[in-house]
Order: sequence, then structure tokens, then C-alpha cells
Amino acid sequence: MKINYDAATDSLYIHLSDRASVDSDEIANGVVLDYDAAGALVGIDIQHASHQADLAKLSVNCLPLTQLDAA
Amino acid sequence: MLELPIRDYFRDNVLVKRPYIQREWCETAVCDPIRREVQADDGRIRHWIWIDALDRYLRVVTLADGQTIHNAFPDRRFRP
Repeated sequence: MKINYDAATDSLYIHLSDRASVDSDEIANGVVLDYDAAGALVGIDIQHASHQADLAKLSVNCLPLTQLDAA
Repeated sequence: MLELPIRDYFRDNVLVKRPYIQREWCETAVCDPIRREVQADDGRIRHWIWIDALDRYLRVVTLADGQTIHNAFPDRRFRP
């Protein structure tokens, strides 16, 4: 999983997997979900992210991480 | 067609995750939309175009300059 934040546009993209999408759907104003060919959710696009999420804190519990990268 | 500027977010996330969206469609939407609306909350501009290959309308969002492409996705709810 990869989380990209663009501070200049306050946009957050959560790549749930490396798979590309074949379809997308805006489920709320500024929130678009991306689906692969099997209908699985592969990404979440959030606009005005600082108004929709607490970007100052990231808490991870019990994920089976093998690698942690910080940009 | 002259390439319009794009935001890093569009290049690194939108185009990567939605490879079915062609940049040419986005440029056409910006240059010749069937409708254009300014987003009240941030001044960004929405542009819509019909895409036969998707069988849907495509919404392309530019920054307030009306040129720099920031986002694009099929818009199931758009009615012209």
C-alpha cells in the first residue's frame, strides 16, 4: 500500500495495490474510488484531503509489514 | 494538439492508476467541453466530454487557471 499526498493541491491518493484500475466512481464530492477488472478496490482519490482526514497523524496497528518507506 | 500542463498529482497518481484514461481525451475536454463549471469551494474548473470508448462522460478538473490538468475520471452522475 502506498499513500501519496500533494500539499500544493491538498490531494491524497491511497494506492491499495499496484494494480491499475479499469473503472472509477465518485462516491462523494471529491472522493473517487478506483476498481480493477475483477471489481476489487485498488485506490482511493481524496480531494481537499485535509478537510476530510486527519493528516497530522498516521497510526498503524498489526499490519504484516515487511518494508516501510518514507519519502 | 498542444500539450496542456499537468499537476504532479495527475501524472503520478491519476494517470498511473487510471491508464484507461487517455491524456488526449483530457486535453479535448479542457479545450472543447460540452460543459464547464467552476467549483465554488476552490475555483478549480470542471470540464465534461463524452467518451465513446468509456460509454460515459469524462470529468476533467483543472486548476483555477483553466489549463493545468489536475484530475480526471468517468462521471456516472453527470447529465448534460
